[in-house]
Amino acid sequence: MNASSDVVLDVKRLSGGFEDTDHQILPVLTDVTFSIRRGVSAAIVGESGSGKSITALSVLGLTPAGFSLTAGQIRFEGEDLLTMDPARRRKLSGRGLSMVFQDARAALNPVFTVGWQIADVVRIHQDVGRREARRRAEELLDRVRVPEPARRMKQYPHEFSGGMAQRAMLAMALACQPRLLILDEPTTGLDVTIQADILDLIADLKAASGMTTCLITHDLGVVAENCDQVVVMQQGCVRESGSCAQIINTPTDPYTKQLISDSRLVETS
Amino acid sequence: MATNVGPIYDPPSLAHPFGTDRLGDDILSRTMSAATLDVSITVAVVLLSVTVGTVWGSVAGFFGSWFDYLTMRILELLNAFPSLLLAMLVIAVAGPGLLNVVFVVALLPLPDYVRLARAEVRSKKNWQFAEAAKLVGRRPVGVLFAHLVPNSLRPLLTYASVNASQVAATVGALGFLGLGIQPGSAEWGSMISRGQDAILSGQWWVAGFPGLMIFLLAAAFHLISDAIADSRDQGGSW
Repeated sequence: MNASSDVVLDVKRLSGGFEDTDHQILPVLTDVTFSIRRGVSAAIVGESGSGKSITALSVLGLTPAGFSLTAGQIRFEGEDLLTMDPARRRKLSGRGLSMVFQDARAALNPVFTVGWQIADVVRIHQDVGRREARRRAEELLDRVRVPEPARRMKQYPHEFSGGMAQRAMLAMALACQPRLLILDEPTTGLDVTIQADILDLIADLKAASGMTTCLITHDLGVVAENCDQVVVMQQGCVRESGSCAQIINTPTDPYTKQLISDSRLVETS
Repeated sequence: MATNVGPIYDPPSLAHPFGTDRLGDDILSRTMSAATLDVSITVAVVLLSVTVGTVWGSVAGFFGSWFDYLTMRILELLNAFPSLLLAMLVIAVAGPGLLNVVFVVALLPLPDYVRLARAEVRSKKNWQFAEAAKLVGRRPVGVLFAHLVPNSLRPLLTYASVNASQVAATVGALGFLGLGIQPGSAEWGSMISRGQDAILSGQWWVAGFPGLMIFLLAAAFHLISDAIADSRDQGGSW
């Protein structure tokens, strides 16, 4: 494998911002540059407003109204997502890259059973019948360690707890078999023990399927335990990026140092 | 339908529970025969209107741009006419007949359904589950019809059942004015019109019973709408 095919996601000098009432762009992202190698578990770390989520949404083409990118490239497996035609891009969503949202319960459709929704995604991506899709959906729920998958299949999202809903979202993402899975704060708002369970699960699923993951979080503790590669962002700029060990142990950027000393990493290590 | 089975203008009795009209026709049997017509016209009108309105409104709300703009202008045009007058005009031009009545009466509540569906879809299209559906590779049309429309159905159906009672009254009104289906066929509205002179001379039952039926049908649709509203309060499955 040559060097370029080794990189799944390559973001180059990405800039953008929200348009104000005078049609001036208020910058939110400035020259964001980083790349994610195939098979790693990467993380984008930063506090609220650092631009980490909007970077991820830009990669997925889900930027909110009023936001526009002004410069830069987002290359997924060598192809620029920003200049790609919409049909090709839609084909990539799900199969190429997929996302798990922070609030899993809001990301499930309230009027359909969870099983129906997972089976539906299975049918979009795999040429199987209704019954086979339901069987695979149940298998997926079992893989993400939802107890009693057969019974859970028939339940509606409001009957799921936050942690269970996040598992269902993971099952749905897995149904697409994505090459890159972006997880936007997947454990924020969950109990600490459930957080650990979900992170373990993500690591196991990653190991089993060989997909690349990109975790978006504000929690350096989570990053230190789970990731190989880290991008630190602050106020729309990348402060530092590199391997996890290097950044945690020998940070060069003052902001990263601040972040590490403010987190509980120092106390525990 | 039996004709001339009894004496003319016979008051309600055991032989003729609803009495007879000026031709000696039994009002009960005419009322029952008219029920199939009135109920099926009403149901057909509501189904047609809610289907067309939902598809039209949700597409306009989802895709926006010029189609949405055009839709809103057409709706304003439709709303600018008094609805019964519009229906009378169209039927006067197109001629009476079952299908014409269905199409014309379906046109009247159409703007309400379009607006309702449009507003529902617009308020929900940026919800996370719609974005999540895009992310797993659904086409925009798929996001609309598989995710957004099913989420908008409850207010539409609740409104449809309220609207059905108005439709029942409109169908009766057109029949009363002689603009409905073929003159002479048993229909509650035209039966009322047949009996209106008799009210003055004391034979209240000729127009009274068909009128009561329209009232009961409208009330029945209101009960259905209450039931739908209750199912929402109990956190029903949809």
